[in-house]
Amino acid sequence: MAVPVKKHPVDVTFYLFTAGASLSVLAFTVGILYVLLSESSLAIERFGILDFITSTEWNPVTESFGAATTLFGTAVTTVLSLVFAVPIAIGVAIFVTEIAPNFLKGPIGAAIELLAAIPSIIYGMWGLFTLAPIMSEYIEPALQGTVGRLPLIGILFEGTPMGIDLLTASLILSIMIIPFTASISRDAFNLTPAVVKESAYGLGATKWEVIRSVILPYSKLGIFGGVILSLGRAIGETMAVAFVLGNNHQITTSLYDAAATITVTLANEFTEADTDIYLSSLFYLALLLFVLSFIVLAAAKLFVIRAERRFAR
Amino acid sequence: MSNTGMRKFKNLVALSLSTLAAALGLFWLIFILGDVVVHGIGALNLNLFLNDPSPPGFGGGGLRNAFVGHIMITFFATLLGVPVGLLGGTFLAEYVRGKRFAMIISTLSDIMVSTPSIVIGTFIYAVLVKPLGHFSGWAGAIALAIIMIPVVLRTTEDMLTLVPWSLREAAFALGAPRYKVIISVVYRGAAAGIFTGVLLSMARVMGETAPLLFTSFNNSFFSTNMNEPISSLTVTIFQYAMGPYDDWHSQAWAASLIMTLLILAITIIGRLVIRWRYPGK
Amino acid sequence: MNARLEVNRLNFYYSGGGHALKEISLAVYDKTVTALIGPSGCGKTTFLRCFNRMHDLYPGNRYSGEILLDGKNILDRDMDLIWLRSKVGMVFQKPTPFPMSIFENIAFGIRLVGIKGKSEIAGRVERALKGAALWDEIGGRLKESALSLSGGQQQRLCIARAIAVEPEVILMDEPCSALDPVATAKIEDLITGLKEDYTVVMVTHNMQQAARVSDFTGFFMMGELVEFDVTRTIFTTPSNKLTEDYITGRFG
Repeated sequence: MAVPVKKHPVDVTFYLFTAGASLSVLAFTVGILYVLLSESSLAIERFGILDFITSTEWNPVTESFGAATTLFGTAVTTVLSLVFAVPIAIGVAIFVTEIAPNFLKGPIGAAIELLAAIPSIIYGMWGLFTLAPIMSEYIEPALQGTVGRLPLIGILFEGTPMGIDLLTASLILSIMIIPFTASISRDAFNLTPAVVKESAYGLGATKWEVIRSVILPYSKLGIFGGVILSLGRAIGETMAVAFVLGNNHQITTSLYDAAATITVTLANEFTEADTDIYLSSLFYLALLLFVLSFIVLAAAKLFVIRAERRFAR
Repeated sequence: MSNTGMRKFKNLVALSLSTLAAALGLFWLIFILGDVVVHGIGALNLNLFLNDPSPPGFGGGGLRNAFVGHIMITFFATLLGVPVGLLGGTFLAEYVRGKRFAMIISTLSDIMVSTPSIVIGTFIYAVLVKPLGHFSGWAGAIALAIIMIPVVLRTTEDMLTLVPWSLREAAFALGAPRYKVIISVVYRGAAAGIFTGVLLSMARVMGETAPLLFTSFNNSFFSTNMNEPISSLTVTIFQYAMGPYDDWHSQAWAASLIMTLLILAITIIGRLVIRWRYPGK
Repeated sequence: MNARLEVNRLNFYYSGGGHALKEISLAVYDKTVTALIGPSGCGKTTFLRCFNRMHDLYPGNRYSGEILLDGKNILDRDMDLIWLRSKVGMVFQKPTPFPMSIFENIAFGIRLVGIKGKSEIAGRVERALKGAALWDEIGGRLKESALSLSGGQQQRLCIARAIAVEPEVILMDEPCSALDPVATAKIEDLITGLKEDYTVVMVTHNMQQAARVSDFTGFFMMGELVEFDVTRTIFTTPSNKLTEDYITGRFG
């Protein structure tokens, strides 16, 4: 047994201060959940849970609100951006860890990190002034003339290419999450022990065979966690999409239509909400977003922890 | 094609695709940065920093109010958020390291780091703006502080964990009380890392727009009163870019250029400090 | 006896500029076990990793001189490293199972050399496992993850994986240093058996091991080959004073 020590009073104070500070994270998490719940209680009572999620109404005049259109916009932009970003991000990670000559590894890695540091509002504004015109004048008509003519997937490219639509928003979102996903994938790749790679090379495997059969299986948990983490980021991103999505509450089949996400709706309508039920419905959307992203991020964290644990032993 | 030939061909194709992906990633970086620089430089002038906004079409207006407001919000956010994050990280690394509590808070912080920042904005709107009846600079600063806390907490925890135990033991052996060991030995050992964490978290919140939209709101007049709505660069960029006037657009580009350069500079400095202080990390 | 590998005046420089191997010349004879011994940092592992050009994975490393495999210089610039590594297999200090099943670990290399037929792959996996004296122990759990095996089994799996490709030469870099005595004894038996079909070059820090399993021994110090001879000669009547000091444990 340790000899009982007389506690220094400053020691106790310091201990309590630090403990309180660490609890603040928990307090904010619970506090946000509680406040959002109580603020949206009016809307929850009026519209219920299932009805709110499935209703496509969003009409401040008739005071009838539902989340289906914004959930649709959030789902489409998020999934599409991941479809664009993940293959490229993994390619970037492969290049940085396995292909690039040593003198390029540092600079390219740093450039990718810088891309991640650019604020999302810059992406959004660049999307509005530069990318949207390029999309509407060149890329979208070109897509319409080619894949747009195919049966079944053709309906994805119907309508007038305006550039302010789901496709442009998803593309900007994907550019934004590429560096994030790439840097997590790179870290996951680096978990593969060098000697295991060497023994695959030692059998006469080509670089690609080593990547596909050794490095990717080794890092798949980590990459998977990274992809879900990127999903969590994409769900909650506001400014990158706010400029180019148009905030139009509708469910459409064409990627050339304007739409709304939860974040874009909040950004555009929060300060304009003139009735209690309108504001409460917006809080309800924020609550949905918070819960949704919390679940996704927690799942991602779980994967990353499992991946790390696997190699810690 | 022979087996080896086919394998080498596949290898070549796969590696070329990866290289192409990296080139595409770099292409976006150069495209976006280049565009911001080209548009921004043309719109840079002294008026931007010295004058407040003038009515559209009058010319000669600037964004002095937004620069000052942005600095004030960031400054107070740092002042509020950094101590809390620092102390919280200290508790996890020094008092409960390896315990379940540390793991829970640390995981929760990682989640909160990526929580949609607009949600934080709605939270502060509900607890500060609505009860007080008006938007305010303080509301904005507190929203940003809440975003900073988990970031600073996690870096502090990580950096303190890197300080070797032998250092603490040596200090304890001299008869120092625990708080003194932490403040004068452990903090000193981790100073560069913590400093970098603070820098990077500042860079992170400086670029935030969404949590300010309905907290500090916007103000087209010059104000240093944190109890009133106050202008910020990011919200101004959003408003100006979506607005109909050409001189608004060019001012938005100029503000974007300055902000991007500032944030990239802070990020680069932070990374250099890490490289210099923690080689191999 | 035929020389399978002939090293002539080999020099090796690490990318940092370190001159790690100086003017090494020796011959590795067909279907024998050659042991490389010496104090740590003497260059024996560096030397071993020249035989399959492992150093080429890291840019900036440089060789001069020649290493002839069946009369062909493997240090040639246009050497096909993939071909070379399928002829010269390697087993590492620590077991390096790939994150896949036991079967897939071995099939991985077999597929690389272009064998596609299911039954042929299965047959070769079985033969490799038998060759590595593993079949009786784990023949029934081929679908299990290779990471579930014990350390000694993992190392024999790596040997099985190496011989499944049917190389001519097998390089072993302290293959027993991470294993307990029982597992070590099994691997040593295995190495003695391997030389019926393969030429083995192994690095070891354990002189008894070198004496037990090898036919030839090379003693390295400070990047130079001090002495190379039949193992018994090295351990009984070494011609160099340094060798004698080392094997009698007077330093190192």
